[in-house]
Amino acid sequence: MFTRKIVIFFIFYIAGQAVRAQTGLTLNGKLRDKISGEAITEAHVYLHELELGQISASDGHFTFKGLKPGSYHLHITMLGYMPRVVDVSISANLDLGYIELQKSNSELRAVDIEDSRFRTTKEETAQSVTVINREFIEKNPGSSFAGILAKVPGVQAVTTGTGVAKPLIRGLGFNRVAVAEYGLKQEGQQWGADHGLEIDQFNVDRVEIIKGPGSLLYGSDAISGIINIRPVLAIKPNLLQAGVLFTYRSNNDLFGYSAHAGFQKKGILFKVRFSGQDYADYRVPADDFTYNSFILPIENRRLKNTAGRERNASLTLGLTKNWGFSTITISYYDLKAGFFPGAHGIPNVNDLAADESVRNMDLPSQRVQHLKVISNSNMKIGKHWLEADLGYQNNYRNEFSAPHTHGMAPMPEGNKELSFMLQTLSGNIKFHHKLGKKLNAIYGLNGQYRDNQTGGYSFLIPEFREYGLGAYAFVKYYLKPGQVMTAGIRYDYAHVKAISHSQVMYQNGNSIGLQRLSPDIDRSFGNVSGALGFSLSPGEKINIKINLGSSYRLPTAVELTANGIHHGSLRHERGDSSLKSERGLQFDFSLNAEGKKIDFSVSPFFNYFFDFIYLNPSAEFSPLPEAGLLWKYEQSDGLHTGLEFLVDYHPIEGLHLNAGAQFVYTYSTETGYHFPMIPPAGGHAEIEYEYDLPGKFMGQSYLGLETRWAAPQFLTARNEETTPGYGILNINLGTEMHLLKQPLKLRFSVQNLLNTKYFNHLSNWRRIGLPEPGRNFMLSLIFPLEIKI
Amino acid sequence: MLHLGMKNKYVLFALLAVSVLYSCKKNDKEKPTYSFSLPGDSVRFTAGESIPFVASFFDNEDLSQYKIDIHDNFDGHDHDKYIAQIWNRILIENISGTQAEANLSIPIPDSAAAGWYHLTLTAVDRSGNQSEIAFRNIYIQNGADTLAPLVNVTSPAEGGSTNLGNSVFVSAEITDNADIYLIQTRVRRPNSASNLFLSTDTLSLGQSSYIHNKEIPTGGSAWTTGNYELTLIVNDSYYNRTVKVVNFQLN
Repeated sequence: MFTRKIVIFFIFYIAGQAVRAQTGLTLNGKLRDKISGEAITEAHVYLHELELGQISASDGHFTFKGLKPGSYHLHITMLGYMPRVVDVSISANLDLGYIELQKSNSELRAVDIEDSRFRTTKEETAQSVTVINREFIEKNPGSSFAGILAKVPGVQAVTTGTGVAKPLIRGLGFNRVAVAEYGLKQEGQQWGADHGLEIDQFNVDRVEIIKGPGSLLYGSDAISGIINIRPVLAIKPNLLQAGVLFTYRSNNDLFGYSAHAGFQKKGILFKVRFSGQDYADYRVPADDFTYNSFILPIENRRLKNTAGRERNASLTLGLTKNWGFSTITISYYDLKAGFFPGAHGIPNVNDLAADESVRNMDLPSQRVQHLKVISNSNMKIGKHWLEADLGYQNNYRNEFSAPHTHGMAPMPEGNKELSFMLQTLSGNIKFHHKLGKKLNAIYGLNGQYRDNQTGGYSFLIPEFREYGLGAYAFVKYYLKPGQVMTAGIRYDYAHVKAISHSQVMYQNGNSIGLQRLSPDIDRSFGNVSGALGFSLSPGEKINIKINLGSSYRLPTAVELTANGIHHGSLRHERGDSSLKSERGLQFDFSLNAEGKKIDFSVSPFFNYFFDFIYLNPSAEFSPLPEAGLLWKYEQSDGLHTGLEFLVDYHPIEGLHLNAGAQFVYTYSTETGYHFPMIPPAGGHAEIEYEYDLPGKFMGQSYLGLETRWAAPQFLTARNEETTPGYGILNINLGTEMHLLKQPLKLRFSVQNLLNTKYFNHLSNWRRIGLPEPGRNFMLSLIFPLEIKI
Repeated sequence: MLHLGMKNKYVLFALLAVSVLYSCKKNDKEKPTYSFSLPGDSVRFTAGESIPFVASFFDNEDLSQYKIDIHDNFDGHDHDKYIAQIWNRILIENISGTQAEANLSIPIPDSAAAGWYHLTLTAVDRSGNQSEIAFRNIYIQNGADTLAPLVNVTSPAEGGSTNLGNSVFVSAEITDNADIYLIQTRVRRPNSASNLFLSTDTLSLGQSSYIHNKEIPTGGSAWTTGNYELTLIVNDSYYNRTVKVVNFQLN
């Protein structure tokens, strides 16, 4: 009897919910130009909390239906206009009336929206945020994703060959830049100089680059900044959006493709993408290279065994309802690439002779497979929002090389030199709390657990387990319209446990018994970080940011426990298990001004690091064959300062003269030297003309000429070589062709037009005298497709 | 006149010494240098002899170590089956002061495989500055056997030709006073380093006489009409080597 009553109650309750869900509240508005009053059509209106997007109609009108009461915000973007964020509080059907958008000539601003971590506009965040989107990526192709990011002032890339690159922000990278995709930090043995970023460059819709301390949101490993890759989930509703991309690059005979499809209908979201690249040995404008005063040949001007292939797949399924949204994404990245034999141990003339094919990947080589399963949700709790991200990552990295013992030890079995399996379980919870008209707060909790297993006949780092927890609170206060103050505080706790590694060692052919290569480690770390910032807009077109922050970074496994040859750095590295966390005190300033015909931004920064960890040459030689000095991980206080600037002059419609530069200066108080691998002063200058070609057939087109340059780098560390400066020329052009309903996009670029021989101070192979790739013709064809469903 | 008492003199000296030592560790950016006399480049030694090594090292502050590394410059084939052993030696010695001497006799084992070796020398000072690295080529011959194999290529004929698409048959008579170990057959276009054909055969121990036969197919897109170079490289177990080149044409 009782149970029957419960059942009936539930039926009525669910039915009641269903009825309420069907009715819901409505939000609508009309977009128009602030000056002319004309309606703005085809603008993108996006309701952030529910990941719902709408396109404004021919009269500028947009509508969202079935909403629950609460606070939301809309992002409104339209090419040629300044973006707007509108905060709304819905308790009944709401008509926003006319929303006015202001024209903007700035190419820099037309696409950026907000600092999505805190859901504010760029104006309202105290840190310098640069947003690049798919359009930018398509127009500025690069061999790798990190290589594309390096076109932004303040961002650089450390490269190993063509397919492997990782980003630096203001000259610092590795474990000092947190790269996040789908809201969670990417964990893939980032300490490795020759470990590239395991991201499908064709799957990137939008990247936020935050320069400056990022520990508040991400805890450790964001001391220099954050690269936040945000896939745009919101798709135009009731449409099947698909597309195919083909790309070809001549320098390494690269063929790439990417196909995707997705839809959002009746609250169900689906997105799938497959990508692949196959490339051959890359070409350099040099016939030989110098290894420690030995001149060795580069046969046919192609670096043997630098071929590779990359495969990517990703799938997202989700629900977008009026209570919010929840998605689950599975992605898989698989890279197999050869290492140039000249960079893997002492080069042998025979190893460097050309082999049967420029596409084969022989020993030495690497294979990386990165699997991610991530859930992202945003849910309404009363009037407020709760964001939760939870994920599992599996990074399986193998390096293969024919063992060389030089008669000093018995030959190991097989070719697997190093093998690492790193599993990471991580989660973030953020609660957005609107405390009043002028005050917003975010409370957050992060957790991460990592487990590393090792194998292979060589040793570099041992097995370890690490877990960390962080809790933070962040507030944003509107002092006046256009004046925002932000402040935050965070506490982190981490625990690292590493298992000691011993193996039989040999000296000149004789066993010297079991030697402990790395010790047991059982350590805890605690850290407090904080930030205080202001964003002031003294005029409508001027914004000043001031940010003071502290951040920290835990020592990595390699810094604590390494003891072996690391081919990526061409050195015998030895860690120190007693290293402390790095801490930084950071000050950022940035000025952005937008005028009628000229935009300008300058961002100086000044950091003081305590216990900065770096590799320092010791006064001993390594006893291992093929190694030079023994390099040890040490700590020292140091200075890190510099600036970036960017200027854009647009004298007439469609014509842009654009230039940017960056400079970084570091100094170690311990050694009196600079820190190693810091980028030289450099920048770019570009002239570009955009024009919408008349006629039905052709559309938006552009033609640009660009130069990228770097000064010689004299600010070096101990035993680091200086690098000469360079200037290279690039041409970019593109057009749209209206063959079918959707425009077919064509992008063409010639990088290093003059086939200049130049060296990149940040290339791992620069130390063996290998120059950067030569002339590269790049062609991409993009076919989008939209079908009503 | 300022009279420094005994105690004050010592304190002053100590302060000076500390400041010198401190600045030495911190700001020494000069690399050590050296001079050494290995008679010229491309010196020949015999297994069982010693390499005389005499060198002087210099540094502005304080030397720490020098390292001599001797390793082979062979082609990286499977070494285990040779009678002779590829020799590798690393010598690291501690030194100190602003000047140091080395006077060594490095013995070459009797079983060392014949061939070209690299000798490298480098030094490091107390602050971690590494010197330039010096390279020398040295040739080691093994007294037990210094005779390279005899190779007589009977096919293809020098300057001969075959039709494109047909196989080229290689045949060679090989003899050695001791033991033939390895035969590499390779075809390239003249002045090219790309191998159109590459095959390496290793023989079992104890063969002093061998007929080498190899079929080289010339079908496929890599082959065109023109001139080609066939190279046969034969090593005996002491690493003595003979190279024979035969030119042929494809029509």
